[in-house]
Amino acid sequence: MIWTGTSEVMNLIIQHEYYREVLSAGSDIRDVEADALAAEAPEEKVYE
Amino acid sequence: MEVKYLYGLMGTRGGGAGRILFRDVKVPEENVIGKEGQGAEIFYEMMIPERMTSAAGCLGVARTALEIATRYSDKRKAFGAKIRDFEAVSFKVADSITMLDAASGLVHGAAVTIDRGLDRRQARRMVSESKKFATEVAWQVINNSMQIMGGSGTRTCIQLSVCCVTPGWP
Repeated sequence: MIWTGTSEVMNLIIQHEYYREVLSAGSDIRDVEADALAAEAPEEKVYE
Repeated sequence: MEVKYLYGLMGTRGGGAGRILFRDVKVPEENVIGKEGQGAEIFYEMMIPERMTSAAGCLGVARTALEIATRYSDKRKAFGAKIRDFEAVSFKVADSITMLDAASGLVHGAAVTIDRGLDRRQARRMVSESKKFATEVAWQVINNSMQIMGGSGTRTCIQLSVCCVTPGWP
C-alpha cells in the first residue's frame, strides 16, 4: 500500500507545482547575473 | 519642539524614525487630534495600517527571495544533478512556499476584516497575528533561501542579500 497523504508526499507535490509555477512564468525580478564582475566569462555560467 | 535624532532603519530606505522632543509646546484647541488624553485611541487605529504594511511587505520580500533561490536550484548542479533534485533542497522550497501561503492567507483575512469595517478588536488581533506570523515566516523563508543558495546567496549583486535585512521591520 502506498500512503499518498503523508507530509513527505505533500512536499513532493508542493515543490513540483511550485517549481512549475515559477519556472513557467516570466520573472519581474531583475536579472542580476550581469552585475557580476566578468559576468560574460565562461566560468560564470558553469553550474556543475 | 526639537528634532533630536533621525534614525535609519534596516530595509526601509524610504522611511525612518526620529526622536522629537516636545517641551512646553502649546497646541491650539482646533489643532488637537481627537480628544485630550485619548492618544491611545489614535495609536490603536494607526497601528492597523502600520502593522499591515510590515506584514504584507515582508511576504513580498520573502516571496522574492524564494523565487531567486528556486530558480537558482534549477540551474546549479552538484553530484551530477540539479540541486532541486535533492530533497534537502526541494523540501526546503516546499516548506517555504507552504509557510508563505499560510501567512498570505492570514494577512489577507486581516485585510478583509479591516476593509469590511468589522469588529475593531478582532481587526487589531488579526493585524497583530499577521505582523507576528508574517515577519517570522519571512525570516525562515529567507534563511531557507540563503541555505539553498549557499555562498552564492551572499553575493551582494544578488537581491537575496537585500532581502536579509528587510524582515526586521519593527
